Amino acid sequence: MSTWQEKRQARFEKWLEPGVPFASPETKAAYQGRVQRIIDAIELRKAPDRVPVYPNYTYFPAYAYGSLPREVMSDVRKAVEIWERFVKEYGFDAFGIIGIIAPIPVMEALDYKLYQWPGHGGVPEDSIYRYFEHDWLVEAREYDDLALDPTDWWMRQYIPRFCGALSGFTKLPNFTEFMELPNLAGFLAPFGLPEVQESLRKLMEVGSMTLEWMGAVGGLIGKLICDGFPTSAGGFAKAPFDTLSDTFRSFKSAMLDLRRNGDRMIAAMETLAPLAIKMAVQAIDGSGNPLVFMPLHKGADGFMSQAQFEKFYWPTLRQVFDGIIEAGGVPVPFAEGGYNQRMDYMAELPKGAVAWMIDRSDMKELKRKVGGNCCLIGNVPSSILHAGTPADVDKCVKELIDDIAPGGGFMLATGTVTDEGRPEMIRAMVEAGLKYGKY
Amino acid sequence: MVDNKALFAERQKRYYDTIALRKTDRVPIVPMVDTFPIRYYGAKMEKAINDHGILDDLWLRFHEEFQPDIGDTPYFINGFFGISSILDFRLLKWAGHGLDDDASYQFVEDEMMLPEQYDWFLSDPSDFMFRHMFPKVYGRLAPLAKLPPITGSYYFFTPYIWAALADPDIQDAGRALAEAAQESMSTLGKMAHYHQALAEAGWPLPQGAMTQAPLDIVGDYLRGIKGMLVDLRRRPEKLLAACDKLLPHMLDLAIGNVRISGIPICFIPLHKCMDNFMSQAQFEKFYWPTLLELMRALVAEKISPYLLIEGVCDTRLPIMIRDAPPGMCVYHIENSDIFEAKKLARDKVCLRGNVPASILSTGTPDDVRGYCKRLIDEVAVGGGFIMDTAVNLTEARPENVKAMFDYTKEHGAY
Amino acid sequence: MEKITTAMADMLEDELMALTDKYLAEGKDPKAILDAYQAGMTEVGKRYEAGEYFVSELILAGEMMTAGSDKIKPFLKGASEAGPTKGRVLIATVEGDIHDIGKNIAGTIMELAGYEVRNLGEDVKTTKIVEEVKNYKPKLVGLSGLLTLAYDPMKAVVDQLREAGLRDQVKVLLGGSQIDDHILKYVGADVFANDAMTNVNYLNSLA
Repeated sequence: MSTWQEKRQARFEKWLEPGVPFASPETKAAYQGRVQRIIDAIELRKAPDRVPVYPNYTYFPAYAYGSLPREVMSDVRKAVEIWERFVKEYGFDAFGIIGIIAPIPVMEALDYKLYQWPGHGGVPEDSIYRYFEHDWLVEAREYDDLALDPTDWWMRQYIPRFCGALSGFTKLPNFTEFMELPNLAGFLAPFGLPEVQESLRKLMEVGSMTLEWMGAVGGLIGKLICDGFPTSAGGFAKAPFDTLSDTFRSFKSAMLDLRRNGDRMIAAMETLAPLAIKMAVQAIDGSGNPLVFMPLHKGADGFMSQAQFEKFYWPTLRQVFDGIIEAGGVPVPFAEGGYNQRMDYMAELPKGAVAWMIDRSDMKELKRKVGGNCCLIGNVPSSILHAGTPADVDKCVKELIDDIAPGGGFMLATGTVTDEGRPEMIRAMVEAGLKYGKY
Repeated sequence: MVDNKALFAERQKRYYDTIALRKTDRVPIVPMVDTFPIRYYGAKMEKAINDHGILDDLWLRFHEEFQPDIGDTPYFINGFFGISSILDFRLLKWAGHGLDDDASYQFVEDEMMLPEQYDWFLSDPSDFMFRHMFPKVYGRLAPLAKLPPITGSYYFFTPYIWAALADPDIQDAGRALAEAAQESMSTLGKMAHYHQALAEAGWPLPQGAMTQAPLDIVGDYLRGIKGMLVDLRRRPEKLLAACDKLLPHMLDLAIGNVRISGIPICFIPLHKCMDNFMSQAQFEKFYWPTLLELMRALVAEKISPYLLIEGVCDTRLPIMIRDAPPGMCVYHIENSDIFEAKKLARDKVCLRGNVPASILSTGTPDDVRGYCKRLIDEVAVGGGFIMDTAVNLTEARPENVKAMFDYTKEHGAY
Repeated sequence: MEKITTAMADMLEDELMALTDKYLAEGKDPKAILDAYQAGMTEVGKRYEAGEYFVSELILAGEMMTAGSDKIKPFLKGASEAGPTKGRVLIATVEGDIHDIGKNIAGTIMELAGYEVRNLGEDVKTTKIVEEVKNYKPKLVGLSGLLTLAYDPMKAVVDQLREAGLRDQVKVLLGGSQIDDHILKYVGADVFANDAMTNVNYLNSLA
């Protein structure tokens, strides 16, 4: 039995030596330099050269080159072209691709209702996608179904609701009831119903479309690595409470559930936590990058009381953290909004195990309270990026580095996710990072 | 002219009254037929089980000739080999599929769930079934093991998990599932047709659903007998948790099928409760509680549990009879001492059985009559008895089968 | 060593494995450890016969024995791994029947009781069984079958053994849940068993 530190060390080594045909010894050195810089920051070591500049954007590359999210979500070749250019020109120490993994043709084929996208469902043409608030988990008693047999709830209740093309799945039988031969015909017959067959046919079609899309994205990732750029994360996970309140229940229902159906909610979250861990670990196994990006939503100050946070939000989030850490992965939670009231929880995490992306929390206070345990990533404010000048950005970055970088454990990034933005401001941030970030 | 409608009603009443321990005109004879008609009428096993028309004819012929008190259906196992062939069902061998053209089907057991997989089954049973059991149990569904978990489809990742479906192997598994589904619908149609013909000829069906004791599911399908027996000591909590997890499904199966068939009797074959498998304390801790809960839930739905108690379960029967909801259950005794059981079962449980397979296959008609006499004298007294074989008629000599029918009808009157 | 025997007899698996490791590490005589295992097995058999233990314990004891032997064997260097056997036994599931569980459990129990067991598998042709009896010269042949269709193939084996002049050189035991006195007589075998210990007791009675 190796410790989590040993498992993580092995993953870091694999991340540093991905076994790909690098374009040249220079690109290999550049790649390894960037990865090592990030590893050093995570492990709270003073980096040998400088503070890494870490990405926090979704569709910014599209806007930066005069395209629109709608275009990159529709045309993967265009998306790949833009991303490659962006990554090579802007000089971040890692690149993110989340912005190009929502293919509109696939969502259209699925009649996908969880999100709305530009030109669909009233979202303006020049905007990004947005989540459609809805009680996909219709009644609170379904929390029990979810806890008892998550895949069954997903397959026969949840998916048919948010994928119009898969509505036939409501007719499927429960998979545990297949074993005895005398019941086999009754079990299988529903698979032959026209609506189920139609859903399965659509699904196969979607499978082929997605594979093509993923092939192109995978090719881009491979190429960028060979050219010297690491991915910003290799896996993805969410806090179980966010899964419930973002994608199962509308925000309002979730908040009411806190008071009315708390125990059911907790049982459902305890079911979701191991699933999230499994998915994240499989992803980092496959990608070779041990960082797991975790955008946090409802844990921010103001959504719930401290008591509710402690009871509902934190325990299963901590469980997911621990599961990923135990497997040698690195949770990279994005504390979107303010987390000033949550610092004590952040401070109790194992030393060097988690790297926090910070939005509007008090960085100096965080450095004092949490910086000894966790790498901090952030947080050039969107106000400056939108309304300021490049000189303002330069000043802001310098102050951040002066305050937070000493002693290591810091990466520079924007506080808010960048979509629409002024290219010159982002360039100014990266440049300032390179200029002031040297140790 | 015989009025088949009246006959149907008369037979059904005799059967239901017997189960309810009410007085009837005589002991009903309802043997488990299995593959007897195929052999008896000289049909080829492989040919018959692959042609529902032949099966239907042979079975109707058997009913006309032997005049049992309740009908029998080949659509229990024998009618489902078409589906099993399409999917390459691995837990069964049958004529032309692992066995000689002339052989009756046989079950195969294996350790399908490893000890470390309990948690997978317990935390996400449908995922375990879909991505682990389906691929192991059905050869043509093996590629499903390559699928990612369906619970990965949320947020904006949904489309990505489906990319796996572009894999040609998985597409073939999908086609197999579709073919098997078509075959299932067609088989169910033929089954309905046969049951209609049987009813028109005057015979009701013996049961409307089948389910199993949760621990038998673990022992038969998941852990295998050896795995299940060692788990009694090595991981008792997991074993109990698995039984609890299975219980609602075993109940759903029964209630769902009774709803479809309209026959309020559920067949429950018991496989792993034999006397020498486990101690009485283990039986009472691991086997009986979830089975009893299942039976009680069925009775609450006015469904009669019909237990086929396989092997020798002499030490179990006193408990099984003590706890049985009175007047609702049938216990089919295989090799246990039915005469001893009767002493406890009066006013509690209808007994069924148990002319030994050994006598039917190797004895003389006199041997058969002798055993039937003893059953009628000792077990039929006061009602609540159904004449049947211990196991089934598969290898029985025709003259012995005739003797069993004739004797019961002549001497079974109350 | 008594602790080994007791741990085996009481089904204390973890303790048994820990003790075995400890004794081997301390350099205790591996043969003596193995003998203590055997003594434990004998006690398990006794408890089974007394109705205190059941098939579940026999299977677990078999697994403990195998796990223990695997630990001990490397230390037995040179010395013959097992002592002289108490005799040879041939077992098979007869033609047409593919069930293996009961037969395999019975085989394991007989091995644990000190017999050398050759297991011919399932659906074994009658001629093959007769040929093996001739070549292997067991003191007992065990014919297994769960289904009623096994009756005639069992009878065929006995008939052919007689024809080959081998019937008086070997005892024939029938195993299976549908076997009783009727079938014993019909097949012309010597004894039948519905459980695993009957075999061992019968074998021991032959010696």
